[in-house]
Amino acid sequence: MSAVFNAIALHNPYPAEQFDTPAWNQMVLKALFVGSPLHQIWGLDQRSNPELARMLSDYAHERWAAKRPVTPELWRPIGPFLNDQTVADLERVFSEPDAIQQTAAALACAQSALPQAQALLAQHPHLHTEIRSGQMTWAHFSQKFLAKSF
Amino acid sequence: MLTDNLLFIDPHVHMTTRTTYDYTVMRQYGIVAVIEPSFWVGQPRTSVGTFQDYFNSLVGWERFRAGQFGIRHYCTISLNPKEANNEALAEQVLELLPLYVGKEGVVAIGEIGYDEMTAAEDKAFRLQLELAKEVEKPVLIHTPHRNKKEGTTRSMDVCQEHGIDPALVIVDHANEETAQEILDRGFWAAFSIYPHTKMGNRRMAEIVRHYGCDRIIVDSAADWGMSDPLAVPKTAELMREMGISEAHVRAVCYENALTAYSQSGEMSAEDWLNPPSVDQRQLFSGNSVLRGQEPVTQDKPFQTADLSALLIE
Repeated sequence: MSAVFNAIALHNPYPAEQFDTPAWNQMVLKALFVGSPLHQIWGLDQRSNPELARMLSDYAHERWAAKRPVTPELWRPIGPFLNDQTVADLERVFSEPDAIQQTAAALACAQSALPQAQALLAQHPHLHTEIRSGQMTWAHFSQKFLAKSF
Repeated sequence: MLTDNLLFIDPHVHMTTRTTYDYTVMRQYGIVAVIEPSFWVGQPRTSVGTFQDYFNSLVGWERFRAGQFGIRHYCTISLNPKEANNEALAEQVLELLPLYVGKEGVVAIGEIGYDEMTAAEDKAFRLQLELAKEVEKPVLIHTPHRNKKEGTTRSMDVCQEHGIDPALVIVDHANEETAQEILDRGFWAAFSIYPHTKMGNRRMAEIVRHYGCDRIIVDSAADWGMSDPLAVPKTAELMREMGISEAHVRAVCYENALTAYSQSGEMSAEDWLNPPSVDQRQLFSGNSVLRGQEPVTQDKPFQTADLSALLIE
């Protein structure tokens, strides 16, 4: 089943070009559910949208309530659409001692022009510098922490 | 056997996917009644006839099989949300439903609601809510795995749009993120104790500690996956160990399900408190559940099976 799903969802321009927003958002959520890497979804950044960001944040809250891990990639489509609630999510991520999660949170902050997001990023000067200098991007992040072949 | 002297109902368990061994152990652990919602069977059905046979087995053979092992079996009938997306087939299944919803032991319309919240799912959901109203039966809502929070809110909105009393609606697969709204709006909140994907029972105990026991229902949602048909009695025992009062345990693992589903007029505690005695000489349409065993009857009651015996003969 996940082989078939991955054949459609990963490395394939068709969904990004053809799916309407509800179908696209369901596909991204489904990828999370079956443990497929989001960064291998073609057009992930171009097709992200506020509705998807809200769905992903809800999902992170469910996972936290169940004391289950949340993949750091989840913050990538959220970054461009940060709002008060999702900035609070990222504050929570920063408060936990997981360097990978913190890096993802910093990358998400950097995607947003929101003053609260920029202020939050500024509290982590080391990550801020790495991101500003181009040493850390989502592509580097995926390569470094999520390298897994599908 | 864990918790002494308590009776349990598992109000969401897909027994057609389980073995007779499960029935015998469930009975030993105090489960007196089960409700089997009609659902997705793991792969999409290709014709209306397979739905019809499935519904027949829910009101027929499965009910008989459970009774042969001392458990009362009820079911809920519906077109499930996932298969509502095959619109040509869905239409035929929706036409079939009125034949089943009035049958003996059918305690609700369900599980209905959303999977991906498509227009086709919405249409089937609303038509089935109208059917529930027409036959005055409770409704069992399946809340989606993906986009659960919005799906839960929207399911309740749609029920209310159709003028259905929340006291007649059980919203299942609830979790920490959805419980508050379900309870605030007067619906029943059911929690499926299912490893990895749904609730864990320690979390369940914390929910009961936080919200009390009003309108909260525990079920297993056990099916062909790695699930546990003893989830209700095990959760009851864990809740007692964690200091939840016996009255609250009894409410969430027995009484609330009875109160919610007995609104159908098809389920009453009398069914298991004064049951017909088990007589395994009985047949269903000429077929026995026995495979060569000595039949259990009033004079020859159940023997607790020795499960560790090596010899099979």
